[in-house]
Amino acid sequence: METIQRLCRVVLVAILAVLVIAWVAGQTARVQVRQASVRSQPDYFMGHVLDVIPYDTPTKIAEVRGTWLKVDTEGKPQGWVNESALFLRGVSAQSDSASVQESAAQEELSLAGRGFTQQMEDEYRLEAGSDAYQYVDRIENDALYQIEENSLGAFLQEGGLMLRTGGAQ
Amino acid sequence: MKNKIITIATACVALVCTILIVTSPDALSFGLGKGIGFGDIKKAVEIGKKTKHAFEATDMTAEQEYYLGRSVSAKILGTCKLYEKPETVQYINRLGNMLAKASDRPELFNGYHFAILESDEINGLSAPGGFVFVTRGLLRCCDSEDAVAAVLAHEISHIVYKHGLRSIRTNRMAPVAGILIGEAASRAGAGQATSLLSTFSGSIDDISTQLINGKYSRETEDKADEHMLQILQRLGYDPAAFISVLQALAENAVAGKSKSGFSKSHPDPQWRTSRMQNRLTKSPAIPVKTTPERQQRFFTAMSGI
Repeated sequence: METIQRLCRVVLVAILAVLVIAWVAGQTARVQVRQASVRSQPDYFMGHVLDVIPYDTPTKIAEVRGTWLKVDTEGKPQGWVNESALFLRGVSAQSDSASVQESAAQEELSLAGRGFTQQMEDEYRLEAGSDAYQYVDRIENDALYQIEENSLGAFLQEGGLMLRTGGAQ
Repeated sequence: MKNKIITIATACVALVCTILIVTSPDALSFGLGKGIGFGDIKKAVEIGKKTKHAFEATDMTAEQEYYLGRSVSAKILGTCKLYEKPETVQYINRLGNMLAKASDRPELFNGYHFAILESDEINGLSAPGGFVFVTRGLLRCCDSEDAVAAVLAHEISHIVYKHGLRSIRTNRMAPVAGILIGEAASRAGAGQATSLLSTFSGSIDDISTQLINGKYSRETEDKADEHMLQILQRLGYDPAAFISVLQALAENAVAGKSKSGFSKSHPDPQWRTSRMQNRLTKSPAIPVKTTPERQQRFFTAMSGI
């Protein structure tokens, strides 16, 4: 009986996986990060970065492998992007003030410029009068804090480490 | 006979799960967890179903989270200077970024950034949007790369689970939800713009107060410890190294060196130690191999801390 249960669970998970993959492939997603790296392999530490896709660019999902999506983007080479760099659904929220739009229509909306933006930060800074933003900029942009993306694979190997299955793999 | 049962059972399961998928996307969450690694993909199914729920802080876009996080970080850096020995800063950024890539949320709007605060207090903080801060005092409690990795992975986990955003007061977002989901941007009048600024500023206050003066609940810390363990195991670090950090914290608490900071914001080192030990005995033993290079680069980077 236990064997049957186990088998059923395996089959169930397999069916779900196939259905989700079939459903997700063919969908359009949007880049939700400033720059999404398109990689030659579905792995951060192997292969290399082919190109980058800028924020808010729509891209078509061709294939799913774990947490990695193979995407087709106009004018860019086909390659692998981690799912966390992509926006796959419209948040169908409702508020007191605004009417709720259809989720499908939400999908078409740009991600950029939704309220909390550089402009909002500028207004807030003016009000708060803080001069500490220079240190935040420093952490983000100064060469001291920058690391070569491609050096991480070597750092991993040198430390006797490897990325095992799960999560980002 | 047995084969027949299996066939019938499988067919039933297939039918039931198809119905579940069509009717409720939540059904996906029991079969497909982190194990298979679908993460956000299962949420994609929600497009098929028009779930209408109130906009919560955790629903915000990566860009919105980033801009909140920048201002929270400015608040933190308004109270404490940066420690900037180049070897140390480079090291924790390499290490931190490698750990982040093994987490359940490897990509953020502008990536992860790691900074050291010039303070003897024992403290670690992470602001939404990928800003991780650790004090010199906390790094001094680490006696190996594995221990530093544990500390950074714990802070990364708070960002993965959006714990900072969760400390924003309930209903803070409601007046401007329309703008935040992008549907009302074009018709936002002067009144809306004012509420947007007050929502932005209120959210920054909520998160900063939580991070600087408050403490997360036991459950929240425990969740971060749990994901920390996953990250360490995915990469092959020794998770037991974190226990040595917790012991150092406990000793400091006893010595009264740390009335505030990490031991205040991350309470109960003994309780956390026993939770960790419990998890380690339950999880399958993964052989941990360390290299002389790993320990060597740790000593080189941390000399002077």
